[in-house]
Formats: sequence, C-alpha cells, structure tokens
Amino acid sequence: MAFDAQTHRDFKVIGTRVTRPDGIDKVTGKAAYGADISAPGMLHGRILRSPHAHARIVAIDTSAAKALAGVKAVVTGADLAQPEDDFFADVAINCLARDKVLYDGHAVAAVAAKSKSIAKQAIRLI
Amino acid sequence: MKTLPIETTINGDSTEFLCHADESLLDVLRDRLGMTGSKEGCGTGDCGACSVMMNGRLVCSCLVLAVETQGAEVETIEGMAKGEELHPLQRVFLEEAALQCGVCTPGILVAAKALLEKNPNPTDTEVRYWLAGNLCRCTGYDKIIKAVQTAAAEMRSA
Repeated sequence: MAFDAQTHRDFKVIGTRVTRPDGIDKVTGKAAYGADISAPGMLHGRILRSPHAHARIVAIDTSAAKALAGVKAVVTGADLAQPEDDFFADVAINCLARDKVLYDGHAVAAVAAKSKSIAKQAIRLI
Repeated sequence: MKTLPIETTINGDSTEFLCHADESLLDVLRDRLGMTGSKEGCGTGDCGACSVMMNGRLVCSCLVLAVETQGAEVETIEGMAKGEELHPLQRVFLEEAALQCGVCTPGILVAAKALLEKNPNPTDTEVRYWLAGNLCRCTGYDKIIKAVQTAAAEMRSA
C-alpha cells in the first residue's frame, strides 16, 4: 500500500490536545524546581556581581567575609585553576572573573554559608 | 540574631513560626514553612513570581517582612485549589496551555484571582495592566490573557 493511500487515522495523542503531564503540579505550586529543593546540612550560595561593564579587578579582600560566623567558603577567580584549553579557559572566566570584568553582572566572588541571610551579609563584606 | 515568634493565618490555617527581623515573607514561606509554590524570581519586586495575598491585598512576598504578617491573613498558591478540585483559573491555564516552564504561573494565578475578585468582567487591557507586574519569559502573554478571560467568563456564568 502506498504511503499516501492512507489519508486519515485517529491517533491517541497525535492530532489531539493533550494536557501536559506536569501541568497539575505546576498550577498548584507543587512542582519542585532546583531552587525548591533542600537537603540536610545544605549550604546557601550567593554571588557578588560586577557593577561595571568593563573594569580591571585591582584587588578583592575576602578576609572579613571569611571571618563571619557561618561562612564556610569564599571563592574568587584566583581560586580557580586556569585551564590550558582555550574553550575551558573562556568557560572559567565566564564563571568567575579573573583580572578583568567583562560585563555588568559578571560574577566576581561567591560565598557558601549556613543560611541565606549570612551569605547575603558576607557578600556585603567583600 | 534573635528569632521572633509570629502568629499568622496562611490559607485559612493558623500558623506559628520563628523568624529573624530581616527575613522576607517569601523566605519564611519557602525555607521555614516548606511552601515552595511561591517563587523567587528577582527578590526586588519586579517579576511578581512571589505574589501572595495579604489581608486581601496582592503583594510581592519578597518585599514583605515576615514579621509584618503578625495577625495577618496570607493566601498563597498552595491554597488556591480546594483539595483535588482546581480553581477555574488553574484548570483553564492547563486546558489553554497558558504555561510552559511554570515558574511565573503561581504568581500569575494568584494575581489573576485577585483581579477577578475585584473585577469579574475585565477588558483585555485591564487584564494586561493588572498582570503587568508578573513577568513571563516563555509562554508569551497572549495565552495567559486568553486563559484569564475564559476563566472569568466561566466564573461569571457559574
């Protein structure tokens, strides 16, 4: 039988309007997104971003942030290894600026702390 | 920092929680009460993803301090469906595919419900203005406006 001999067939899904399988969870607020998940002992992260579109990073002082109670880690671009591969080097710089920020909002430093508010406070201390 | 005990009503249930003076209502809902239906999009009142009702008024819960809810009535997306039965807005949003990723959806539903309680027969322009504080980055607003109008018509005839 030629393929075009069959002009109409009723399918279960194709050609029908199906409601999305995750729809009910989404309209009731039950759907769990990444930010909705919490785990025992989980730390909260926060990122300090550049206020400048293009600027040299002269120095970053993280000592006050590191000294704050409840702060578990503070990282800057200098803490990351510099990949030899050009592609991965670009990715690394996009994650955390190294010597120069390349856009307004470029990540400059990151904090992990016991709670959201401690992380927020630590960011203000950098 | 010392925590403060707060007594409030959330979705009709009296609720007590402890919170810091600088914590937002959104943080308490999500992190202390496990009600993650309200989303944090911006944390600065621009996106509307955290919309809830407080004493009958539509607010961005990221801009409300949790301590302000002492004695208040708060309604969130979790209280919109009555058990298994979806609110007409929720059902029509599903039927008319007015959501994709669904992060803005809880806020938009809470906001749209507030609109229809105030004005059961809004024009398209009124719906667009009312929902101007709720940003959606995927569906586009057309389907959302249409779904709100369909639900409004359904609720008027019910």
